[in-house]
Amino acid sequence: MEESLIVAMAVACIAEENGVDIKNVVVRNFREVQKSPLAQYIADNNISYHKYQLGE
Amino acid sequence: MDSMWQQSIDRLNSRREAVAAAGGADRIAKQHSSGKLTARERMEALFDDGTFVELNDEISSRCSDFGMDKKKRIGDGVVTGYGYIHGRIAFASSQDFTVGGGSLGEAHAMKICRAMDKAMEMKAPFISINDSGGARIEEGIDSLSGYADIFYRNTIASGVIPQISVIMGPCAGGACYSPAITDFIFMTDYSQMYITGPAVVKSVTGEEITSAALGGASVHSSTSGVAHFVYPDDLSCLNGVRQLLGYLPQSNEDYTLTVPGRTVDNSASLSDIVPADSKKAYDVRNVINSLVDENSFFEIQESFARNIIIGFARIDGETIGIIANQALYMAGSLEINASDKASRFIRFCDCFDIPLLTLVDVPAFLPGSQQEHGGIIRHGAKLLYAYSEATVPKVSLIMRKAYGGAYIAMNSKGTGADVVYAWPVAEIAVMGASGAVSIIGKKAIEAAEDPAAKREELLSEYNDKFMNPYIAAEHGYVDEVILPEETRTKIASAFKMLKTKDRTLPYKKHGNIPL
Repeated sequence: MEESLIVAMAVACIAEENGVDIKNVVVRNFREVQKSPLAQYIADNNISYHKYQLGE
Repeated sequence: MDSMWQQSIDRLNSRREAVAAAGGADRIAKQHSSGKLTARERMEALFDDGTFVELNDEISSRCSDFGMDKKKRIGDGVVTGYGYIHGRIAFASSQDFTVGGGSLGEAHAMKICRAMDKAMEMKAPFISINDSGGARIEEGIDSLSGYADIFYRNTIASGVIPQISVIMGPCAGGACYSPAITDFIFMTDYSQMYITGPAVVKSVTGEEITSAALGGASVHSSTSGVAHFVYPDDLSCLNGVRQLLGYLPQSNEDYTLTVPGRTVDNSASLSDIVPADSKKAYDVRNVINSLVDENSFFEIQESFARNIIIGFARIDGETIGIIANQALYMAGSLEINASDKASRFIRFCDCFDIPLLTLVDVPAFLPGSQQEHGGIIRHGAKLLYAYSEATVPKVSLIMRKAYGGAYIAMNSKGTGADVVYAWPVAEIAVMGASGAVSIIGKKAIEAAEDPAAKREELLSEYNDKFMNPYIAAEHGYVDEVILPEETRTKIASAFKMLKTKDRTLPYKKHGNIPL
């Protein structure tokens, strides 16, 4: 998928969640969020993991 | 931005990279290859996503002896900070085995102490993740003093904030005593705890023993009773910590969370689970699971002193602590380890205002020279002391047997139970019929023309008179005899009524529990 399309979709999602008209959103800059070391380790090792949440 | 700014920022970024690199890629790979996470990965798994904030990341040792100044370790082998667990703040330390083997020196201890102090100031739980080779020998007495500073804080914080230790690697020598003072110890399958390791044991006593056999998780969860929980790996273990914290308040000034869950009243099945014949065994966990909110029972020390069950659960969404005789093991009798296990749990619940539910089916304190010589008098007294001292709401259900001293010790009316229920099959007496008749009917049986018939006659009389709950109810030791299908409703109602209970003990510096 094109990088610009990914950014456009992300902006649309955020705008929708916050009830903002997408026409009023201006992207000034962005940076790729890298996986955390733990997330990377879990992905690299194909570990099945779900963080416990209260009430489960 | 001018060049001075840029240089400063570059320097900071470089230091941050050094902190994040910990002991280096090779050591991190080695840590991973042994199935262990790094210190920061553990923090990430412990706290709610994205909430961990590191404190004092640049603190380093000031020691220059034995070439320590040439191997400066930024962060000094421990990561400390705070984050949120189920949306509530908690503080933690996590020893970094990739940096100097996680050894504890002056600065390392200072970081941990600062985090502990913050936890106390914020009245928030403290979690200590242990993965360390022990005291940093190069720092001499300052290392030992560092341990002392931690032990002191553990003791002062006891009963004020929940303290949880997580052992995820070696924990040897004096380092064991911080976890030992804390409220709960979690271990992973590959961790060890011992005061003296296998090499010292061999040199002093000649005994040859492996690390796992000496102080592995299996030993401490089933034999010594040091560990409360064991998990196969770091991720499941830290999930266990998160689960436990869901039952606890933030401090002794806080309340536990109400967690609405599925409330299914399975009381009707209780008469199928528990045989009326008091000699037949059953698993009391099935009783517990029928009484509490669905899937809410969280057992503690399940492999140690299996004749008594302890754990947290919820009724109508509210946390309670449960103590239950387990008829599956030793007929549910009380002995040294069961007394210790239950007493400490009762005291924890009392510290943090968690109401207690006691399920009674106890034939006696276990007889024998092993128990007497091991100090069952002293250990059993802890149970009486713990129940008597506890001011939290205390509800008992006598399911079947409740005999003698063991009856008194299991949250009887006389030791401060607020509400005592009994099922119609309950037997509340000084002892079972056979033993009682042998004593009180001895002369009559010997003098009888037909001793066997006389014995049967006396047994029948004793059973009719004492082996039921009605004498105890008539004398006020049981508040109500209830049907199994009424049990959950009655217990829930009792805890609701007791929610505003306000009982205080007379002023004292502290009591003197028989340790």
